[in-house]
Amino acid sequence: MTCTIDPAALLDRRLDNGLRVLLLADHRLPLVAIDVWYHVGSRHDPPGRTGLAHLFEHMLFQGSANVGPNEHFARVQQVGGVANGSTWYDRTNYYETLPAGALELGLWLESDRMGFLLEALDQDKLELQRGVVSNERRQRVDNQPYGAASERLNELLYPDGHPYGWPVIGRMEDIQAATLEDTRSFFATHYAPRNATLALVGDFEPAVALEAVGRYFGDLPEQADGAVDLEARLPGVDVQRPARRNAPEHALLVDEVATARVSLAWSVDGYASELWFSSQIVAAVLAEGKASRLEQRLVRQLELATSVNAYVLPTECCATFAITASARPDVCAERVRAAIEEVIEELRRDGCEPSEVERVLACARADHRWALQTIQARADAIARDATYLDDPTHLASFEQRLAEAAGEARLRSALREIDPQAAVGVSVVPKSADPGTRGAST
Amino acid sequence: MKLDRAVAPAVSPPEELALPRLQRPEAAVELVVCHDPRPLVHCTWVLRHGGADETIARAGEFPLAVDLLDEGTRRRPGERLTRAVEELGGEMSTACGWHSSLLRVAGPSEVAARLVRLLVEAATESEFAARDLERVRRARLATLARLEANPGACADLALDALLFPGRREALPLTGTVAGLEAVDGDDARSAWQGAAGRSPGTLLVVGALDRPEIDALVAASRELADGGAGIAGGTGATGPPGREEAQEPLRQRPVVLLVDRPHAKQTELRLGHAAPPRAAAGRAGRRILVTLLGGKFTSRLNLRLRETDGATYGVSAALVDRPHASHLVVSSAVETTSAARSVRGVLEEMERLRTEPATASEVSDSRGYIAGVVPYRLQTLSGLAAQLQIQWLFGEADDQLRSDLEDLAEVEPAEVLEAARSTLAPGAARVVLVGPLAQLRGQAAELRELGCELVELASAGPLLAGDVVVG
Repeated sequence: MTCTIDPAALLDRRLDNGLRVLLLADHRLPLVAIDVWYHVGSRHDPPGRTGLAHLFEHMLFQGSANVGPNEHFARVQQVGGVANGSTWYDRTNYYETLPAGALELGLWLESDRMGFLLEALDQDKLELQRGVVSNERRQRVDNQPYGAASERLNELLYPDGHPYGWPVIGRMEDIQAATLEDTRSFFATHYAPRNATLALVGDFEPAVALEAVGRYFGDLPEQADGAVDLEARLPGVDVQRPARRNAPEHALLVDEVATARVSLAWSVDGYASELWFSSQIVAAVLAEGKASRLEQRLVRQLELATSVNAYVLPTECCATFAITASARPDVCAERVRAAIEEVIEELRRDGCEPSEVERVLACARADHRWALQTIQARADAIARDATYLDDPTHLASFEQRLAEAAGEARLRSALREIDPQAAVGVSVVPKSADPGTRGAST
Repeated sequence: MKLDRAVAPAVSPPEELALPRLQRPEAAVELVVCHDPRPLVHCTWVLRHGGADETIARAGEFPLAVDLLDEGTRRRPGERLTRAVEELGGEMSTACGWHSSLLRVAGPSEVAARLVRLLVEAATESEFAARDLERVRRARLATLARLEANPGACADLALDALLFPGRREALPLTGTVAGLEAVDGDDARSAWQGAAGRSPGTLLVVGALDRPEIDALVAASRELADGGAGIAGGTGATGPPGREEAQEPLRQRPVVLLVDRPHAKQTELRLGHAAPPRAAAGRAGRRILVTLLGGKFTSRLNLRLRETDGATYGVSAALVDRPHASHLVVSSAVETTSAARSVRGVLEEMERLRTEPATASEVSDSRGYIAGVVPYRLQTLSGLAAQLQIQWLFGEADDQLRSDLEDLAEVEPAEVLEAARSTLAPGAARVVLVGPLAQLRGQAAELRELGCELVELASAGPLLAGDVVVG
């Protein structure tokens, strides 16, 4: 069935140059997903160059030795494919979903930029993409209501140079300052076959596809190792475990918004750790679905908020556990924050009820099926788990790991992490609000 | 053989796609089933009634009523209804569009029958309790308040105000403050029952369904017919209404509405005008035209505004189809200093398509893209459900996708040119710029050079109340 990962069907190989290749056949539709994950993300941005990993992702669509500017998109789209790239804290990926008969086209495009990008980089392309990325930042962050909140939250949660403390898209001044030499150096350091995983999922015969992968990628030079010792580059920064706080720290942002929004956050263990799975369950008990505790209390009973959500990010070094509530127009941020903290304290004191854990597990099992419907999603999943965990079949044990995480002792451990007295937070309040009722805090 | 990297590999022709087969079991309301092997089900009850069917004075009443469907029934309060759904690993949701509304359940296929029973309960026994109504009303008023602070949403609303002057569609789908404040529980119940009474609705179902699940759907259809359409003695009409919507006469100069947002870091740009309806002859040519204009990364607009000017993260153009009318809509967020230049770029690219035929390779590339992404869009149950819903909304045949693909295969550049001349009207465009007026005024001369008439609005507030009519 195409809603899970079958370990027996997954072919996992490494080419001589270090490139890891994962192949998973699925003949349901005449499509193939190609997904290249480079183990480099915004946490590898050099000092003073936040956003470089993301800007570089844009540069990879500007052509390589044998592919002209915008030719990548043009060739993919003319055969009915879709393509894009994305940058995250820990990784950058480039992907296409193509008609099955265009598999080699995709391999040609991806191998050309993995092996032969530098000769096509030039100043004009960089300046153009600096403009595009600056507008992306304006569109996603600077010109959006509440746009500054998550950046401020991360600064508080990951202070003192921790590499999750700056935004993936980068700060505007750093985006504008990036040089051609920065991008060349970034490529040489990180874009090595040994630092990449190529995942193929879809309508192909694995042996035939593996031969084609070898033809297009096998002769690419090994290049540099790609590994960057963050501990050495960021002395004194524990990237796995930011310092635990002894008192809450809460920032107030006054902005052009209509209603207040409150966020609280903690740092927990990284993706796929025992604590990460248990934290996922706790987050869902708190705010997933209309039956969740925060939804019931804040939205339905007290009517302080119009929506709440909670999430645990799938990041590698450590993970952000965050709760956000959007206040009603006449409700101040401080009341919302107090109500969230009260619900958390009750949950920490009494623990999760078996019925709510069962509800969360039922929804999580269904979500797992929904999430893996597309071949692109399955390519992402195996590439992610190979990159972060060195185990591309990890998702096959998802339900088991989730069930183990739901044990009472494990949930207690997760609840200990979300201590309101050790939280960081951000409240965004309307400029028009009476300064006395904005909910100013510590 | 050594690989010649300078030559792109050949692409073998796409296999013929096995399009989803639909089944229409005999049932008391129209029931359309699309079988899929994955262990999931996606079941939607759709009604042919939406926000466009309510009056301006009561704007927001019907969407609010739809929102209340899953907030509690005569059997149990909303919290218990929600728990019943979520304990099955399911999800229940409602939505109201301009011309249709829906109630949906989705979840694991092994509990499909139980989820469908809960859908029927919400559809036929909803309580419309005063306390729930008050809470949902206040949430919707908050949504309206937030809309004014959201530049993209303001731009969309401003364009609607220009495209639909004096009509319900010129206002937010959520409604107006006055309309929402006027609703009480009886109004909401009447609005819903009136809609359900006029049209028995249709069940659109995608998933792994065996005989027991089909039997459950047939049984559900009886209850929906009795409790839904039967509420007000429904007429049983199922097809799209046949009325033709009067098209606005095209103006002979573009209108630019400047909406002030003094501290904006960027300017939201929208451009639109009426276009031939979806059912009009030549649709395949129009699809290729709009894809070429702004429907893909390598569209003329994206290559110009983004990849040449660096003025935006992206720009798109689309034909927004409604049952009786369509509109061209161009959307972007541009650097404020480039706002007028971007408007010029859009208008010039529209005019160029009207006067110079697209090349054969441009037409071929766009055709390949539109046809090629069909299986991509149909990968998910929600993608399949969306396709069913489109075919239902526009009264299209079950094999519409196949005939669309056949029509596309025959389009030549001359037809795209003809489509451009009948569809694109740069001289009649309505343009919206939401940004800092002080800076945008500095570009007024450039906009007037384009023949544009400029209208200023000090804030987006009047748009929310329907107080803006640019005739």
